[in-house]
Amino acid sequence: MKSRLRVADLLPVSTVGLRSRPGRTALSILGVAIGIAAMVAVLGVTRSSQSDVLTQIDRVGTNLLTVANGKTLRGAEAELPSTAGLAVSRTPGVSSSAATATLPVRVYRSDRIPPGRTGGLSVRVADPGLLDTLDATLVHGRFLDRALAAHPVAVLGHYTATVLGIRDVADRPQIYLGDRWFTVAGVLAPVELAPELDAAALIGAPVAAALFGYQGHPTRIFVRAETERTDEVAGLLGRAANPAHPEEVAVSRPSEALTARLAVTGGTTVLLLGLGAVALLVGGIGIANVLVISVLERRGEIGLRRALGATRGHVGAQFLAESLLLGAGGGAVGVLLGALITYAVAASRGWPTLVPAGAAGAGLAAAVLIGGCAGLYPALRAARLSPTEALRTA
Amino acid sequence: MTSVLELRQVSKTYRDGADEVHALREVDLSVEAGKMVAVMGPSGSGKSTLLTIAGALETPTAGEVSVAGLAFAGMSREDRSRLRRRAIGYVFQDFNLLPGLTAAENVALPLELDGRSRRKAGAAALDALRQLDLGDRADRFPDQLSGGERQRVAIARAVVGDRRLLLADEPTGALDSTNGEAVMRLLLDSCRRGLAAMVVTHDAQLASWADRVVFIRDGRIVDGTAARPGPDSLLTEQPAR
Amino acid sequence: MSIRHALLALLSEGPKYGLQLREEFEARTGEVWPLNVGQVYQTLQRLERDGLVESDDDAEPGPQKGFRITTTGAGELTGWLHTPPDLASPPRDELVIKILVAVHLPDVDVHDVVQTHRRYVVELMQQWTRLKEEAGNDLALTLAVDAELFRLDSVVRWLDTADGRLKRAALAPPPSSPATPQIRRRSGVRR
Repeated sequence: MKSRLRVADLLPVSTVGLRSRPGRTALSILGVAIGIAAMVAVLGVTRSSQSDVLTQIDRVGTNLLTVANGKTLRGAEAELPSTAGLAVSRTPGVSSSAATATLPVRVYRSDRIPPGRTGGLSVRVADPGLLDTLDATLVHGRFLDRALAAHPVAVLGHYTATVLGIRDVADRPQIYLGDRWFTVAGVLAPVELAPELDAAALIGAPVAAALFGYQGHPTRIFVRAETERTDEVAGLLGRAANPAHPEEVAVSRPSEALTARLAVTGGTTVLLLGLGAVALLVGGIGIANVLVISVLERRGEIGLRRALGATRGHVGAQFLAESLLLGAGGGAVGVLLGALITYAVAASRGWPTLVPAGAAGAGLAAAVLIGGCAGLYPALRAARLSPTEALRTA
Repeated sequence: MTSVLELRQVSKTYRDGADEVHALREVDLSVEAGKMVAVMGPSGSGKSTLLTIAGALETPTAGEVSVAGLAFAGMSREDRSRLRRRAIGYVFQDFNLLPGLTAAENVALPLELDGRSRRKAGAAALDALRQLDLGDRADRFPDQLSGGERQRVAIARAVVGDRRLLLADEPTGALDSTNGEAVMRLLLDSCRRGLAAMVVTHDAQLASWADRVVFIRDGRIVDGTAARPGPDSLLTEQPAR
Repeated sequence: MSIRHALLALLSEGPKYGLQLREEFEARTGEVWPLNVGQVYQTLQRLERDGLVESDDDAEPGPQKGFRITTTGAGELTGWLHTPPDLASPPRDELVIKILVAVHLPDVDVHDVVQTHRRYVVELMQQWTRLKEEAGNDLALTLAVDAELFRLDSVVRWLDTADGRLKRAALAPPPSSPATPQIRRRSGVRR
């Protein structure tokens, strides 16, 4: 016998107030929407950028280490002992390693380029195992192997190829390296872990020794360790590379830089989320304000409803439903807006778009909650209004 | 003849700061099924309070009220709300229809509030509208209706379902006299179908539609017309004047 | 209601017999004003004397005698329709006088007097309204009843106003301004 407005019936009834004042409804929705959009966008953008970094780390792997002998006074890479390459590769826990060394020679597109205009390019000696150790890939041609290493053949870093204007290796283009013509065998894809390789031309150790007097002293060794032993391996590498002066050897882990980036974005995220929460709160107060005014304006309607037999509960539920709807509407618009912003930012940065479902859900829930809290007081006020009072002042 | 509305020694006192305002003093009134009673009095005489008390919107300070045999005394707020939904219909002066609802939705509202399904309530509302020749106006919103049509929709809402008592407060409101007359005729028709009606007004022309007119002054019923004679008496009396 | 002009109006539609005129007059006025045959013929004779209608010369006076309107008669009718009735000088209203007298009698509650009249007038209005309720589509009757209702309504309104004014006057402090005797004198003159 107890009369209840079914939820399905309450919906059209409670949207009446909203439908008849579309402008105000839109504005109060906007308040919440901005808050939710800010929060979703912040979470979405950070998550997208993090996902980008994570992909990089993933690609790079956390088990990559580099070994270098510090720097010389002039900032160039210092040489390691010639035994370093072999010693490192034999260190327990190392699954692969490749040594590189800078050469004091220059590379040009042709012999007619005035010396000195190197475009910031360098020449490096590289082990054939470099490609595997770095998990690097080629865009064109092939990498140095044991046979090619003995010949005047070069593989170009991605940037080097661009600077020298090498687009393809099918017609065996020649470059002028040192004072010799070298054939380009391949072009590398960008190597995130070792950006210095992008701006280098790589040649084999034997040909370097033959033509440029390379003594076999590597300047940087890339090491791929067994993942779970990475830390242990890192501790051993100094002594292996330079038994005489292990303290001069610098062992670093490129993925650490990326991990640091993640931590930094995490910090800003908290701050931005705080700002989003403030916006959401303001939006909630906006809803409460609109509803309080609406209760005052709609005294006549409330009185009429009461006269028609609506209970206090009916009237209260109606206003509460209105505020919940405003909250939910704002939440939905906000999530959508936040996703759009995320998409736009991610697209402009070349990141993968990632709107965390948790953030969208939580945003929506927060908006509904804010709507509910905001509607509580106006709903109580509306319910407590005496019908005769309401009718008289209508 | 059973009386649908029964007020016995009803008083209502408001407290206005330190002063007591006696809106109603020991009012006795009953309205039988099928009859219309008009309550006439100047503004502030207590006639609107009488209406809200009869409509279970307000509780009297003293005295007994009953509608359709149900005494208000001891009723919970819920019970009174239910009584309003089921047994009592209201027609107000001007703020009568909810602006965001169509005519049919307005008429269906009390039924829906009473828990009837949307479909059933809608069908009953359409029936009520058709009886008042408003079938083609069912889907219009109040601002798309003329003043007379709005008031007719309000009447449809006041009689829809199984109503026993019709309460009207200046029901012809701002309508011109022909539209006002149409509204009064409809109210009277509803009465003749078995509802009891109480119309509150200061307008003698409107009151003269009622079977009985009572006069209220300063919260007291001071006078009332006799049961009215038929029109035949006029034709023999009137020309002599 | 001028019977004279009502008959002229009926004749302006075409020639009619005396009996016919009486029936149509009653029908048009919603049978609110019954008319006897004598009144009709007396009026027709006067109209004929004044040259406003003509009759069939040869026929005997009686129900079968035909009448038609003359040009002068048509002119008279038009003039009458457009001349407002004399509303400028108010008729001596018994009700107004009674209330004015009651105000000054010490042992009479003027509100009771007002209410007695009000109830009486409202009762009359109820009867008229009942008549209208049953008139259905009879336009003439409805119009006639409306006229009567509005007239009575104005009386009720006057009573309401008088009631309110008297109540306020009783609540207000006794007037002591120099303007008061002047007003008294003027109302005294009117009485």
